Amino acid sequence: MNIEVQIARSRPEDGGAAYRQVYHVPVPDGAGWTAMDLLDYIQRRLDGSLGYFRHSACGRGLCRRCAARINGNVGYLCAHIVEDERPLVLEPISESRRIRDLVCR
Amino acid sequence: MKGFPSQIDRVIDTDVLVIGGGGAGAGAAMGAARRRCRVLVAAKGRLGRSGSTPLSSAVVAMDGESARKMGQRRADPSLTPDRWFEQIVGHGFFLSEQPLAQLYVEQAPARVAELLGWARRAGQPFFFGAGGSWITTGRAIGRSLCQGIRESPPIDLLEDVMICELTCSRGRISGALGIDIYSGELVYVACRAVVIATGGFHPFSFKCTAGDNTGDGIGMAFRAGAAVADMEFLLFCPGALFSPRIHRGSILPMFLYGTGQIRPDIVDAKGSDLFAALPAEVRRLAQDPAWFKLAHAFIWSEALAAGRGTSAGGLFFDFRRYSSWRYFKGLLLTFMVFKKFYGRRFHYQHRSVRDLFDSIRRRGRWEVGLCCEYSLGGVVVDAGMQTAAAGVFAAGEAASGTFGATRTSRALTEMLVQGFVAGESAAAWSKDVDDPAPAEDRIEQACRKVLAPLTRSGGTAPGPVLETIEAIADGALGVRRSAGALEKGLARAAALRREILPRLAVQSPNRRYNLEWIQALQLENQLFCLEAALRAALRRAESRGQHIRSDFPHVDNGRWLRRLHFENRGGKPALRPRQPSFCCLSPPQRDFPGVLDYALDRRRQETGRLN
Ligand SMILES: Cc1cc2nc3c(=O)[nH]c(=O)nc-3n(C[C@H](O)[C@H](O)[C@H](O)COP(=O)(O)OP(=O)(O)OC[C@H]3O[C@@H](n4cnc5c(N)ncnc54)[C@H](O)[C@@H]3O)c2cc1C
Ligand code: FES
Repeated sequence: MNIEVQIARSRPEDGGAAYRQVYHVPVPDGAGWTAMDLLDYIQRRLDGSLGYFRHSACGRGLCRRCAARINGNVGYLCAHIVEDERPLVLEPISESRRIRDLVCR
Repeated sequence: MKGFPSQIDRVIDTDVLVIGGGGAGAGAAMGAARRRCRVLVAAKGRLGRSGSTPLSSAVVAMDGESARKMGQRRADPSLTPDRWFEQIVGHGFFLSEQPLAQLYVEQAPARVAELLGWARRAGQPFFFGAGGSWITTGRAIGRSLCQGIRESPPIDLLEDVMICELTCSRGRISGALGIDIYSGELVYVACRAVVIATGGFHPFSFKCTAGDNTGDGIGMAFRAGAAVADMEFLLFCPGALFSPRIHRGSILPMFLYGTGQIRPDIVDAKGSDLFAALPAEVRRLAQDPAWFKLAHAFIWSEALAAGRGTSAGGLFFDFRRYSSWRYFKGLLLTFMVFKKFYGRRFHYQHRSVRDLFDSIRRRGRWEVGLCCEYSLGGVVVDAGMQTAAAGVFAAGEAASGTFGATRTSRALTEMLVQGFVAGESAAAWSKDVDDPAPAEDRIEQACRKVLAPLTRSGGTAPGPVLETIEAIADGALGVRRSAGALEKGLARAAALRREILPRLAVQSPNRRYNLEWIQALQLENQLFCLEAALRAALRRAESRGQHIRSDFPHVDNGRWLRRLHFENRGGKPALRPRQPSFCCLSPPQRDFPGVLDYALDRRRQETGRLN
């Protein structure tokens, strides 16, 4: 299936201006990808400038450092399964502590 | 900042810099702080919450005799320090540096007892298991270490700072350059000694380890003049989940198998039992906790090499022979164990796994695979954790030599013991030397190197390179290896190093949480470790531990009781076979037709001696 991912972006190189960017990610049917899998795909293949917590990720819901607003609710990127073809909306948990895109300090 | 290049945003001065915030880093910091010197820990992640330490499942051990003396009535007093030492060396196919194994055995009781004390005061659950081992969770280990740091003389901490390069002056360490991952600032730490405690390297696409384990410390130490060794030896855990994706890499299946309450059949893609046709003695070996990982990795990889696996390269844990009643009983008993650690029903590693157990009830199977859990290779150290680079020490998974070709004893104990010794040695060293001479040109050079991917235009992006590295490792460095696949992998890795590494460029020039920049900086170390592992695996024309060559299946003690060192010769890794120290135990003189034959022989000797 093809999943539409809408990401609230803010890049320091653009002066932090907020905007929304849409990506389309081909996900194998029934693969049960997480939101972090989608972001990995986008960052590695489509847009290297994307920021989300990744540098010390446990990927297993343990370190509790990958929090983001997922479809409006706060959750962990590595623990959120993308189940259907609805667009996935990803935003940072705080505007004031935002460093880049989904990363907050 | 006077005397420092203008690119540097922050300079910190300390005596001992510890790089890494896992168990080895925490241990080193405490070891050095108790010797009353200034200590700074710089960790890519958070203290006690990054690297492999919090992901472990987690068993720490000392010998049974010492555990009994500590009042553990269920401890096995026949597991004396001598017997434990013999096990470590024998199970490691005699490639252990025996003085390191001795140090491990001697200091384990003190270090584990200390950990138990911190755990008690931090309210973390540790339960005695068997022999001389305690079982707990990775999170509890991390929290106990933080308690230890709180109780220690002062230790400074820099979290989310990635150290990228060590700088030397007049032949010894003078400091290290790093980046603050969130702000992008360049941080220079001027110091007299460094402890590398950055964990292992895990190059495969299928991971049960954290994102931080990219072999940074191994690469940095080598560039500073240290040798590395044993890079061909990786430890694969049989029984990490492939799917569902959300649990991918979880080692729950192996843990469940180990508890023995519900032991599934292990079947191939067509449903045939891998173990049904094997001799009873091999089946017994595979049930023995000491040999479990080696025997399973051997048997699984044989089936996978014969094309019997799933399309993802996995096998199945099949529970279908259990009646519903037996299944529920087993499950209940298992979760009584888990509840002690995780406080809630159907939880493993603090996350609900109810979906997995429901899937068994629906007559499903678990797709599992071999997942690299630990790298035996790393920086070469002596029994004081000193490396060949003056003022550079290494400990834990980043170091090498304790276990030899494979590990059946506890890495969590290793990180505590070695961390503490490295910290003490680094502190003693820092007191003996005067302040390093300033090395502005070296620091400037390091700054230019670190900043290069941000300023290059039209280069290669790191993302696809990272995927190529994983593909090379998947294709050539699994349990079963062959000259053809290793040569192919090596040629691809060398081409990446020559042609791509110098051209890496990132999209965003801004340094704040610039993931691509971090990836670009890590790639040099990942590629160094990968290439060293491929070269050593190709050179070692025999099988040993979980390095199984399909073209050289025998254990060749005549030629290969050697560790493969990479020494820094003018910046290039020169491969040198070196005999490990056989100071206490002599190795067997004869060869074995395969690694299982060696394991069966050792097991016969060990059980024979007990009876
Ligand atoms: C799933 C799993 C289960 C395990 N179970 C067990 C078990 O039951 N028993 C056992 O004994 N062992 C077990 N192990 C192995 C054991 O957990 C590790 O070997 C051990 O924790 C390593 O500790 P360490 O401190 O050396 O490294 P790590 O814990 O990996 O810590 C490395 C640290 O270095 C930091 N770092 C990395 N690069 C840099 C850099 N460039 N700059 C600054 N900091 C950096 C990281 O952020 C991290 O803080 C398991 C491992 C895994 C993956
Ligand atoms: S990465 Fe650790 S909780 Fe998500």
